[in-house]
Amino acid sequence: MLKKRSLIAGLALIITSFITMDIAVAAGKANWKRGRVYYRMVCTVCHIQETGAAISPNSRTIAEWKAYMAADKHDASGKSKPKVSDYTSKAYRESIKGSNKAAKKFLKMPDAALFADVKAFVVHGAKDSDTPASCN
Amino acid sequence: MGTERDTGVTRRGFLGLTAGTAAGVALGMRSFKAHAAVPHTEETWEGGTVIPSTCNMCVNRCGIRCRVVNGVLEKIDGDIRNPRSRGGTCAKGQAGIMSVYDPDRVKHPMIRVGKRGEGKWRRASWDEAFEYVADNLARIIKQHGPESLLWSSTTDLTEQFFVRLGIHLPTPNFARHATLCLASRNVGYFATMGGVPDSDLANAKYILMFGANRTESFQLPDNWTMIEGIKNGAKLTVVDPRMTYTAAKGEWIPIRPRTDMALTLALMHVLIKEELYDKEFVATNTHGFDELKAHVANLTPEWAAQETEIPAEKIVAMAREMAAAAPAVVVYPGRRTSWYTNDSQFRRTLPMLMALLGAFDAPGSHSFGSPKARLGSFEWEIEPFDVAERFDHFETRYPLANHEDGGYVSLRDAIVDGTTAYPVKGWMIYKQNPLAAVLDGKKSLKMAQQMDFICAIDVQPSETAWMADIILPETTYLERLDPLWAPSGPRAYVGIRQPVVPPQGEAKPILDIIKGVAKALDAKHEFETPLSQVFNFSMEEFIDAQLKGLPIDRQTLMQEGIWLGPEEKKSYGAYRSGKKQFNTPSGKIEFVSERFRRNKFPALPEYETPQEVPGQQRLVSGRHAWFTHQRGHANNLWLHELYPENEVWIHPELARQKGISEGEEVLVRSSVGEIKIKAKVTPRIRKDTVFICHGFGGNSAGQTTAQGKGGADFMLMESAGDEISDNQATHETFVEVVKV
Ligand code: HEC
Repeated sequence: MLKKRSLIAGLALIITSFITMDIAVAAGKANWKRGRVYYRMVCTVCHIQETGAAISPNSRTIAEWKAYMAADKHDASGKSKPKVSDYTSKAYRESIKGSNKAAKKFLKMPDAALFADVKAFVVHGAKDSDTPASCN
Repeated sequence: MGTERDTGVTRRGFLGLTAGTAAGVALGMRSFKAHAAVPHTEETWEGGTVIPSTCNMCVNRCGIRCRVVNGVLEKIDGDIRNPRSRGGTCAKGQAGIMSVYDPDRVKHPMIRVGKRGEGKWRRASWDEAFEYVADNLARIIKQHGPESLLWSSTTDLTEQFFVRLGIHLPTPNFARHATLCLASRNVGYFATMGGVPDSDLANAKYILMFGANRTESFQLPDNWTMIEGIKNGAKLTVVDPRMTYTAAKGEWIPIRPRTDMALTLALMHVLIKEELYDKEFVATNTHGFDELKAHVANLTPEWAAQETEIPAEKIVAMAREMAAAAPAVVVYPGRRTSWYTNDSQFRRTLPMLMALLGAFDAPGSHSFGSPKARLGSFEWEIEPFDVAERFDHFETRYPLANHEDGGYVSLRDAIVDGTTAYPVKGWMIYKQNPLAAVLDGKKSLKMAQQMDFICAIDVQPSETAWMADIILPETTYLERLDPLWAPSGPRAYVGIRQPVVPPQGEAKPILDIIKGVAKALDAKHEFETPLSQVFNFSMEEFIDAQLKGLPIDRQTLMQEGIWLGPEEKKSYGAYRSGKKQFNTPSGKIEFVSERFRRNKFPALPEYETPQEVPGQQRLVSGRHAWFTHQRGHANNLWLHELYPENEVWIHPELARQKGISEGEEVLVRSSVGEIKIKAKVTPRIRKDTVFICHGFGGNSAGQTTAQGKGGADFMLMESAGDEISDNQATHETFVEVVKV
């Protein structure tokens, strides 16, 4: 589990983490910690901007989050894009990469993998989980 | 007064600091003497400038006004506009002056030249100091990975910068303040009602406090409102093996220690059996009532009387009085809840009791959502997510604890007992004094000795700093600009802490220290995001980001010292009616916790009779009005003058048995240590219990005022932690008091 990265220097280190990412993706293992970074820096930033309040993972149950992500319908108000996956897509990341550090950092990630990471984070932090998470 | 300081005797010299020290004493002397001549109120005072700021002598962060003459701080007053402190400053707040002018203060970077703890230092320039720290950190990162660095700090407005540096290395191994203090309360309340609620003490009709010692610890607003409440006719009941000054304000119930949960369970028994509970509130707002009813069915007042030594009739009377006062009842959550190994479960019973009384979301009870200014947030660089697991297996051992805070007892024991997942080689410490705060002090010392490298960032040569390889001197809170402070309270406000006087010596604010380390580290190691880029901002820019969206700018705030939000009238009823949900899995107050059950903890709090040691007393500790934290208080000359040394409190009967008289020096011994300390013989403590005020018995030779004065409680306390939160359990030790 413990990643020994101490001997790998510089750029190699960054490349390695991308490789690890891809391995994790290939194995279908979502990374909630990566999902947390994306959720907080992309999803939450917009929620606060648009509505004045964040949507915390701990505002819903595990079942509610699973159903929400499975349905892939973003928000009924019509104020935003219709699908949650619109906001994890490469196209969206591309469109905001100039102003958003997370979008830039995760630019190359496959859509499905990033979506899975975000889902892993909200489920991990759901209100009936062992580790309920707030938005910041 | 007439201390040695008045005579100008300066035997206290921090080695290698002669010039700085002399200057410090001179300044200290001036202000110390001037103090007596300073008029009591600002209005009748002529001569200097008044600078508003925010106190830091405890966590309450009162608004203060600082009177400065020719760059020297002469007097600190409370700021009348501040809704939390309302013009008050305590002895600690006023003595903040001496935190600046303490001759023992570290004023230059100091590198160890002798053996660890020997006290031999040499003065270094900041450039050398940054290189030294970066060399060591980079070496450890290269050899063992960044996760082999332990990163400890205590809550304050500036802590985030220190923590941020750790996040970007990245190390997962943080050791923060919570498990030395209130982690069990947080876990217990969070599990039961989704957060720690506010208490409306001013309008309560019945206030029940377990151990909490408001009038002697801190948090002025709670004290003032509590006194208001008492004036308004509230009954205050304090359950504590020791009669504190808080207990003296009401009725003292001298409970047998570690049986508090027996009392709360029996109170619930009476409320249910006599149908005194709020049926409507329970039906709408709680989860698991039937299981609770069955759980407490046999936990009668008679049973609890055996455990607690509180008469059964008294327990029945308490339950009836509380029911009569409901919903205007406050069972106080407490603050430092580092008592026993069952603390999280005991804390759970407090909101459960409140829920039965329907004492929530009504005046005089608990509520959520007190007014609070919403600060803008600073946009940090993206943080690494590819971080190792903690070395201490904390996540798996304490699945319901706050994993980002870590747990001091378990991490210390893992290092010393050699059960860490990987080697822990370096220790960075900011604003924390674990070697004088974590129980079993000898064991903590072993942890320190095991480290390859220790760096302490501190104002004082504390016990921990004294064991370091390098000390980086931070400015005091009166010499620096900090992030803004926007607490929840009776009224929303934003307070600012800003420099009142120039720094002594070469002390730097923490952000500058972090920037220096970051830059030096970048030259030696490549990080995912260069550390200098992470800290590429000024404190002013950070504050401006916080002020975004608020109708005040930085300059005005610095002039005024405070921005007051609109007066809001609190509205009640949204929870009671079921419109608003609690932040728990069921959306209700949980008598039964499925989360606990799933993690193999009892879903309802289960009481166990405490084990006692024949012929010995249980040691409890606490705080004093002039002395809350070891940090900054122990070595403060003015506070020292008020209360130079602590005592061990023993009951007169025990004293008689042992032939000990008032003021006599005795030996107190436990399985892990022994101390010499004066005896205070008093009926204000139970016979089976002894009390020692925390924060004394300092053993840093650098702190010449505090060193060797009184006895250190933590040297006696055996290693123990709350089973769920790993909050250190400081009241689990039995000691022997021996006549010498
Ligand atoms: C560009 C802005 C924006 C981004 C980016 C964004 N959202 Fe939203 N989101 C909104 C708005 C607007 C709403 C509607 C809020 C309201 O109804 O007032 C919303 C609502 C929601 C809701 C509540 C929907 C409901 O029906 O209650 C969820 C859940 C949510 N977003 C999840 C996400 C997740 C997950 C992401 C990131 C992958 C994301 N959002 C990214 C703007 C955004």
